Amino acid sequence: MMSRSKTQHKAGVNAVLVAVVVLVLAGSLGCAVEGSRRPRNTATGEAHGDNWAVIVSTSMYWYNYRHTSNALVFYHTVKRLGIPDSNILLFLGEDHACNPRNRRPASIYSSAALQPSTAVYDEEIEVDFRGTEVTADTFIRVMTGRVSAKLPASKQLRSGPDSNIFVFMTGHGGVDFLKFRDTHVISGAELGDMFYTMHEKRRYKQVLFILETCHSESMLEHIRSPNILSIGSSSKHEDSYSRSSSPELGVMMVDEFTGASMPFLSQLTTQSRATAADYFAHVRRSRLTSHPVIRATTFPRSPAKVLLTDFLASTPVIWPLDDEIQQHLPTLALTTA
Amino acid sequence: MAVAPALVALACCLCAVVTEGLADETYSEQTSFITLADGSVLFRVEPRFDARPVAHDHRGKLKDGAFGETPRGAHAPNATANDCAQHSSLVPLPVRRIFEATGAEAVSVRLTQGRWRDDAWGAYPYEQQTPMMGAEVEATWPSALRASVPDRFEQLMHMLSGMLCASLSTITAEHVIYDTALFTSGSSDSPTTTVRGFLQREALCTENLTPLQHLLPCGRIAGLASLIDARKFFSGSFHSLGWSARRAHRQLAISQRPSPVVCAGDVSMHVTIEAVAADHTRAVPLSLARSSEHATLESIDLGRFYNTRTWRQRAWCAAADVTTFVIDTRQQLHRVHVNAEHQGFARVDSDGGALAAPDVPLAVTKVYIGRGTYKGAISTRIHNNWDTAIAAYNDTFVPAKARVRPAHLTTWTTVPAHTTLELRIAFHHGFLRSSDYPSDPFRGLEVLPTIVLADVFENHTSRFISNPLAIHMAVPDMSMPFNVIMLTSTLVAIIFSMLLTLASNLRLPTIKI
Repeated sequence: MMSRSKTQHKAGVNAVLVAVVVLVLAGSLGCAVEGSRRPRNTATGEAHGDNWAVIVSTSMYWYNYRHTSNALVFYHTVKRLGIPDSNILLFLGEDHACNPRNRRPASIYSSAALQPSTAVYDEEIEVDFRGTEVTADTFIRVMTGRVSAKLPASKQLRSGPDSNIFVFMTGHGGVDFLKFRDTHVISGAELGDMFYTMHEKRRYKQVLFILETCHSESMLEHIRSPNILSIGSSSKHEDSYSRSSSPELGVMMVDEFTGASMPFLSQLTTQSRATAADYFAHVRRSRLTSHPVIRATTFPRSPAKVLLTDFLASTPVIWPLDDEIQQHLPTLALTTA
Repeated sequence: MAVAPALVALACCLCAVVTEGLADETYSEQTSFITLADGSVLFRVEPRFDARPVAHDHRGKLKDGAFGETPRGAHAPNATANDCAQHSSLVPLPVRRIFEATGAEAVSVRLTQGRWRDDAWGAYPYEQQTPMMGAEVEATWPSALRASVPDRFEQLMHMLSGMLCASLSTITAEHVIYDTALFTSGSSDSPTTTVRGFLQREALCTENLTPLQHLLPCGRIAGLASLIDARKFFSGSFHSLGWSARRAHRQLAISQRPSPVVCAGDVSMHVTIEAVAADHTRAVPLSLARSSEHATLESIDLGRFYNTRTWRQRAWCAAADVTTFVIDTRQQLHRVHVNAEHQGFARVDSDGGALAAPDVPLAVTKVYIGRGTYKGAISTRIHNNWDTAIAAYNDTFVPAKARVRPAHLTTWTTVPAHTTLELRIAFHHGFLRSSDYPSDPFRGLEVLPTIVLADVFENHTSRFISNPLAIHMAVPDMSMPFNVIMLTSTLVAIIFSMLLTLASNLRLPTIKI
């Protein structure tokens, strides 16, 4: 009886082992098949699916013109590099372009020269959230996907586990907080929780987060979720500053960090090999009053190996689904490369 | 009452009829320039779609799934899949989706910045009612759906806010009025439920104009709407964008109106009007403004354009043939008439007869009476400028149910000639939660303007709008630093003087020897 039960037990163990081996093999095979079907971004060398950009200016009042300008510089860049408006969520806390105090209606410039080349308010602009809609609550809900089912798709972040997301935020802030329209704040802990929720809900693959505000490092310290590379315009106990005052408009045109970024961003193309480290070094060389910081503690790679175009550009590749087409995949890949 | 002269107007109307299976679809555009009494120029562009059901596409096959993807939670009790498939490609997809998802019979939106100045410009010279500052949305549903109308209206606000890049999703229950017969702009055979939502203030800029232009067949590339230069448009002291669509008897007739702009004072307009069709080229002088420049009307071959499918339209618009006729706006002209046809597809009518903006029969003003914000009244004054009595519907303020519904009062009044009717409604201070304060409390609480409807012209109900009000709120004194310095200095002075007094009066013990 004992030997029989032992035999049965051994047979059961063997069956379980076989089942486990089969499952592992099937899983690895499935992964391999899935992996082969994953889109490969051959232009950047880093595989990811789609690109999303969330660009937020949190300030109201006319004198915060520069914050809208900051946001639009990055909006202009990602749009120029191929990310469509459907994949860009633009939050503008104030209507500076058509503000009655704006002597250049329907225009926003990033330089005091007010030249057309420095105009960042496109004729094709699509603002998703503006004015009173721009709150910390709205921002967090959109990022984490906790939105009303009635919210139109154009106002939702429909990213997935293969998505690279570029997030840029600018406004007035202090140690551990960023103000939204002088009415609400988002704290560093809330920001950290937001990214953690996004990670848990598999809403991103990698995130490049740029925060331009005073004491921005204090906010970045709360981000502990994996695969987030964050850059702040100032260290924990520093203010961020603006530059380029326009006598005609009577306001500062852009903040130092964005102003220093502009020459670098304007050189970017979809085929650029510039890395996050190159970008950060460029900004550091620009002798800002504040000291920008970069945090890659939760990012698996060195910033020197992270291409900016992985986040700021859309470099779509053809992803063949048909087996017949898949036979020609090497040829297509060579062509794309 | 001073007559508000409109010196000259130019109206261009274009009609194109689509052939090849879409014979019941039409698209037309109309634009007008009107010089107002103070030299301002009123400019309006009005495109219009009329789409009727057709059973077959241009290949003779029954169209299937023309509406494309159905949005989440979409439910349209009045529109079946077949109905949807019957609509043509000229109807923009977002518009179809709105009607699919909400089941509305009619929707109209108007976004306005600035106030139409009756006193300086005369009565609003178009059939549409005078635009009110901020955002207005009106939607109509069959009465059978009354129970679900609030939910549908919320869905509609979200969809419109996405389509027009506007803050319409912030229109909540306290900004909504149901079944206000005064506001319904059209008559309907079947009983309907009308919902009207307001926003006191809505920023209006390029991001609102661009989506409207995208709804047109050629977008911003061609067509009369392409003459709108955003920088000129938004430099006007008054500008308004509108969009409306209506479904009737299983048809979807859409009228879209990006209109109008008023530029005050000396106007320097450089206008290019494209897509007026035909080979007709002609120079037409027109008095537009004191210092205006040439206006150029260019045309494209619309016949080729309308025979293309949606995804190819833009390419055709860009590649179309262009002819031109020029208007010198610095010269006087009192009558312009242009009529041309091209290959039977397009027709151009241009009639620049003098348009006179009518006198303003009613002047409506709204004032705040009282001291401080604790107790006071809001007074609406309606003055009849005419020699005859005017029957007026008045829609003004009543105490609202806090955070549930807006203030609203409807009356029917007859105002005798040359008299002023005053409606005064008292109020007293209520407790405000922190969430009740607007994001910019120093601007004050905004009170919607009073709307007065009156049958002053034949077969036409005119709408007159008062000025809005802003009631100051109890907010912290931002001269705080001055107060702090003053109080601190006073405190230091008192303490110092006390110490000095004590020190000087201190009785030192005397030692008697």
